[in-house]
Amino acid sequence: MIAAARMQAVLIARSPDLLATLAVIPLYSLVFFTALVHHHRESAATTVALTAFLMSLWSHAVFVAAETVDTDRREGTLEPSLLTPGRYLAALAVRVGTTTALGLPVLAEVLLIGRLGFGLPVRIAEPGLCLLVAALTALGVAATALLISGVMILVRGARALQNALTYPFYLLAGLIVPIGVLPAPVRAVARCFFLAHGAQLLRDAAAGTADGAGPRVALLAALVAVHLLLGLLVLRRVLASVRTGEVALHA
Amino acid sequence: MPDRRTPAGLRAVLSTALRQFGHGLISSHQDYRAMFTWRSWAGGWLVRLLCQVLFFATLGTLLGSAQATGEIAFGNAAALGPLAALGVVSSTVGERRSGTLEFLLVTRADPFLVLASRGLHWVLDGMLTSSVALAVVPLLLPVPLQLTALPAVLAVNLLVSLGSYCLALTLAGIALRHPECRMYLTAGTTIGYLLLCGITTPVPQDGLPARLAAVLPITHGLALMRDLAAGAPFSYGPLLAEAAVALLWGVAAHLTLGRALRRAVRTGTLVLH
Repeated sequence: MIAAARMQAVLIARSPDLLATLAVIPLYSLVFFTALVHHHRESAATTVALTAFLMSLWSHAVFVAAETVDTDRREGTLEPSLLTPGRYLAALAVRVGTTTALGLPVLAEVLLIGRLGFGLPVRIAEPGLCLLVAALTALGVAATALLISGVMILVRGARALQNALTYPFYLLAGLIVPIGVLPAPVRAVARCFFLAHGAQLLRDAAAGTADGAGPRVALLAALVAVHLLLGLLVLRRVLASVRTGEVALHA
Repeated sequence: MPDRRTPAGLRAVLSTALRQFGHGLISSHQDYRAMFTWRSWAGGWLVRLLCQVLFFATLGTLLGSAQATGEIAFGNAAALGPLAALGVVSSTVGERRSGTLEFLLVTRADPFLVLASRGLHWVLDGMLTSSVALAVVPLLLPVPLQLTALPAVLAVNLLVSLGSYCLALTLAGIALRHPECRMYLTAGTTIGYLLLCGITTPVPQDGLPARLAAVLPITHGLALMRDLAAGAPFSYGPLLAEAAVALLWGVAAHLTLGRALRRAVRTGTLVLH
């Protein structure tokens, strides 16, 4: 598993295009910070910094981590990987997780952009809790990438819809404003969405208002665990279909 | 080759270019049909773009200003056209990946015309999604848009989108030589647009950012669209400025995607795989 993680890190480090989302998406914080400064709403700086962080994490998972298996398929390494005695699914999950984890340092990056670039009062009141929630959220995002990986193998044309998996989920997760402002039916769905819980917990941990965070962290962990289980089950089912020839590997 | 200096020769050249453009447009339409079905377009792509507008509009809610919410929503709805035009960078690099670029380059046709016409579906898609957003978002948010002004706003948006398309073709010329830069170029330009052109934040008024904003598509056109949407009379100044910017990027695109590409093919410096 360590070998799989190391290999994925090396592959990404040697492919500058795979780091593009991590390099560019955090720069959305420039747009958010500029808007705050213009409207004299500097007090919301930490909120929008966390928004840019979560956007980067999600985009990196959807556009890079989720493509791991598709890249294997395109380069012809998926077939031999499936034939080896080692568990490809476990190796793939580790590789997707490694790719997603590379998005975690963006949290420090966006906070620094706000503080050093704009002189804004970005602060994290409870760094330990913030890191724990960020790590749990990253695990949930990696689980999403696993789910998308399965769909990308199964459904032709899924790539075209990959782009559609960003802003609807940012809205659903209440990345800028809490989900309380969403219409009631959408709010009900958002309450089951790990990213909405992660975003709100991150905001509260940063503001130091996450009193009694234990049950909320436990709920987030449970939602992430369900999501991860679902991602692994879907991908296992899809890979089993590939092995039996039910799914064409080449167009 | 017909002699361009004679009227008949010029007519023949123009006719060939138009025919070539028409063929490119047809294949562009086919590419788009292969990418989306009506269902995936309406249920996936369009929903995503409407959510994009609403997402940025929620920034106005965070700012505590209904006016900011409306202005940001309008800016982002109008910007869907020029932002979609950036898609041509990916599709042009896609020609290289799918092995069709060689065939396009070995024909006698002008590579600039061929590649420029092959990506026109991005402009049409952007115009369509932007029109839908400008019609739908005012139903949900207090967007400063008088419906009677919508046709004029869309006409200006077409010019803005074409300007952005020319900028995107310039980037495509670079991305064809350095495909690893594709995402950096498109995502970086998107953020540059959002930051400098008055879409989500005000247009910078001084220094290098102001000078950059002046030569980017969208800046002048969006200011005019905002004025028209608010009921102000038509003004030629920003329109001419936007047209000049579009022309500037059109020339740049011709240089990077036409001349430079032909030279790279001649000298064998273009790595196709």
